[in-house]
Amino acid sequence: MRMDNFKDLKFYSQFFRKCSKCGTCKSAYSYGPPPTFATICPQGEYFKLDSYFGSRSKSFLGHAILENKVDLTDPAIQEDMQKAVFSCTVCGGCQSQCLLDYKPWIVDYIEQMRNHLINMGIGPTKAEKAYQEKIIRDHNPYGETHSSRFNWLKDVKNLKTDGNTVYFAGCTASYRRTEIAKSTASVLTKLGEDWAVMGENEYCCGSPLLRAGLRDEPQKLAEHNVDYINDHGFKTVVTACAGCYKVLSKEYEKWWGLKLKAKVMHTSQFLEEKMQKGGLKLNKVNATVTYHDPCHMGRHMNHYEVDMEGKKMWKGAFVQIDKVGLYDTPRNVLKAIPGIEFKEMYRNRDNSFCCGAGGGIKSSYPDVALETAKTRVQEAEKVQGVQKIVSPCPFCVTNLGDGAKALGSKIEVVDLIQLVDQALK
Amino acid sequence: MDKKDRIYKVLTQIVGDEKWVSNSPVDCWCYSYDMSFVRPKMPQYVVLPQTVEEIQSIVRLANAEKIPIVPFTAGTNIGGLCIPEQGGIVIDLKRMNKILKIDTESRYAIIEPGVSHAELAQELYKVKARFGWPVGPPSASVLAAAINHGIGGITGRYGLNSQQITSMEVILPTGETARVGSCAIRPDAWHSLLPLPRLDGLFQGWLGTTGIVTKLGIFTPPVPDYVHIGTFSAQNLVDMEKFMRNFSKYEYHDDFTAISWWLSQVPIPYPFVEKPKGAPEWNGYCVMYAFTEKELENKIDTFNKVIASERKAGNTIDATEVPEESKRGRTQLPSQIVGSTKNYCKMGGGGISWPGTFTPSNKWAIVYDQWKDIYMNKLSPALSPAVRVTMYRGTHYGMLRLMTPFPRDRPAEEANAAHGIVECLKVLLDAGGIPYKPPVAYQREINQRADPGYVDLIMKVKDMLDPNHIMNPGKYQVR
Repeated sequence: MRMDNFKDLKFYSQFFRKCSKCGTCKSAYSYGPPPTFATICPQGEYFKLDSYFGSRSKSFLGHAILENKVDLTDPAIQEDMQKAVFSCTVCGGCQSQCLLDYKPWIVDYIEQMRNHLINMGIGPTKAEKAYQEKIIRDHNPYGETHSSRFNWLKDVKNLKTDGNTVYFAGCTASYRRTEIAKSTASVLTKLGEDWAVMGENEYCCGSPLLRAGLRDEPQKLAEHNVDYINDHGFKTVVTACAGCYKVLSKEYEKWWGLKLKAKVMHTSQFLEEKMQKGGLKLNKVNATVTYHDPCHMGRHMNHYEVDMEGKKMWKGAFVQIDKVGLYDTPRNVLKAIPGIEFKEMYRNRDNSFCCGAGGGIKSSYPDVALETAKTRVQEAEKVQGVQKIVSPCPFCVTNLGDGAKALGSKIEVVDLIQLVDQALK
Repeated sequence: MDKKDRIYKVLTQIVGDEKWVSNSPVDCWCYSYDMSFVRPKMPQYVVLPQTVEEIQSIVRLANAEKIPIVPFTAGTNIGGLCIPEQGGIVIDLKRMNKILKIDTESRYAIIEPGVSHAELAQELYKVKARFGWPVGPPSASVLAAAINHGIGGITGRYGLNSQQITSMEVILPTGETARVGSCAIRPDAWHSLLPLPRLDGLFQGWLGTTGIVTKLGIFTPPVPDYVHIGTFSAQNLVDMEKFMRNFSKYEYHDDFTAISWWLSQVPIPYPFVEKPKGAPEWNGYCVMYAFTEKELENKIDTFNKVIASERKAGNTIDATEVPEESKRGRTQLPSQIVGSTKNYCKMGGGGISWPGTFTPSNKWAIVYDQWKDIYMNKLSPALSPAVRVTMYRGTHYGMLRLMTPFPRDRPAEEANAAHGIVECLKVLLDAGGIPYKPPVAYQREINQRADPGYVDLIMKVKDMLDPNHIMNPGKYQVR
């Protein structure tokens, strides 16, 4: 018997059946004044059918799955169901709009739908299966050898494996965006931090597996990472990846009760703390920039108060968001760099438009990922004078970079840590 | 090639890409039901056209194949109006979402079916214009609500949203395009329906059974600079209605509404709970806009005088003080927060429906008492009589509606609510009220009571416009 805190699809039905089908989740809107309207659902905007739009569609689909409203023994229908459920970026944009008791559960529920379908033999997608096998074999989704995980560190001198702070680089920065890993290492060194890496003991955090609906496989990765970090007595874990941050700071404990003794910080939190203590002296960097909120660091980190027992309102009532994700922190760091002119994109914070890479989409539905990225880059292009899109997530940076390239855009996409590295004395 | 594959292939050819067509049960299931108690019915296809010509081709295909077509915009009505009674092709119009024109001098806008209230509100605000924003989801279609006699926050001053229609373009059930109103005479003139014959009546209130409206001209009046929201309460609806009737004769109100205690709760209590002793059964608000300070002062003065005069005559009506935040909710529309999404159905559990009716105000109290008896005494579980009344422009009639939440995952309770709603509808019809945006279950009751000549005329018009009976069949229950 599996020992975890995952709930089955039946558990979520008490919430997704409370979806009224009002369609509020299909776009972002606020009265203001002035009233603001924006598209919010990458999947819906790409496919347009109501079966792909927002959390409303997922409520319809969950109902169909649990109550056999469609024949899921038919291979063609299996394929259609898989596409509808697995082509969602699980960005949580719909969750930000919903006002019903369904709201707190939407992201977890969509991932559980995937798990449910996988258990029925429907999914994962071929591309997901491929990277999942790579993670299980090599502890990274890119098919690279595990031993080459820290090749980017070849040039770093006096590397330590013990210290006060451990830098958890994550797979994307380690293998595909090594400039981000190098900048992080550089920043930690310039700030005089007693930092270390896990070396070959760093495994994938498990995010790509969790997002795709897997349960047992990411647990093994989680146990490994937690054991290592706890055994080595690190006080702080720093990561520059939004996906790793969500998993390390929230999900290891939430799903498996695995407690990290160390404090988990995104690099932006680490830098803001340094800034507040006066330990961050930054040089001028002349640039007009905008900021892209990674879903995993922003709205996915919101915490929802739910009245499960009905003591305040009624059983299962969504009461409030009692803790919000990291919206101000990275902006504060960015704005602290002299010479930086910061401008918001129209859609930001809870209403930010996903980069398009999440939820396994970049592998399984690359067209959806690219079109979404292009849309986001075009939004940045509309902001007067913007030269760079800054984001604190290697995966967002990668996909938005792909979008910019496909558009032939002059906008450069950089990680926040790269700018800070450039600005540090 | 069998019929199913043939239709799919032709639909794909029409819209140019398989991406915009589906015959998958997975996709079709998501068009099979809505917020209401109406049971799911599956279409066989969903198609997403982007042009008038594409819709014309789809309509012609439907005639050739004798397959029903059902227009769909956002699916946010609470009467099952887009549920395909006899299956067929759902024509999802969300890709036609352009605001084609906002004419600030002639004060009208031209919109396509997929334009949401949220989208139009954003654009009208920029030019200080407004429309009748409903207390409904911002995602709802402006066009669909208007042609089905939706109401909004300026209904008291200007009338129903359908009364704001200035011109329209329609694709008839046989595939031809028709224009009614000024745009029929000159393509760029969208300012008025009059003085031409009111052919728009062939497409308003017909629940999408006589054509597909592809462009709509709507009156977009300016936003006045001054506003006051008067709030008041009464112990019973008799007193409340008397006050509303007396003040409404001045036609000073943009929105003049009262709600029962159960509707004033956020959300509506489900199941029924007793009203606390001493709490007024009715609370109301009167939104009065003005273009000058003096105009507003006069309105407020008259409002206060009518309350005072009613009280002197023994009416339990009284002015009330409510938090500013609560007042703002009456004018800051469209709104996610006060929309039906949260206030109405949150506690009930996802389902929401109603008898929403147009009823003379002097019948409100009579009907309300019977509704309360049904909801509180004849249902199990008992339900909250969450009733709203609103004076329309002209004040000879108004809205009387009973918002009814219910849980989607407990079929017996859903059936209980559906039964209660239909029983309340019967009472309403017998008192002379008429439901708007009615589900099919209401049509049977309406037709039973209707003058035979009315039903006959409905059939004749349908036969004339839709000889193959492909246009959203079943909604009027006349065949």
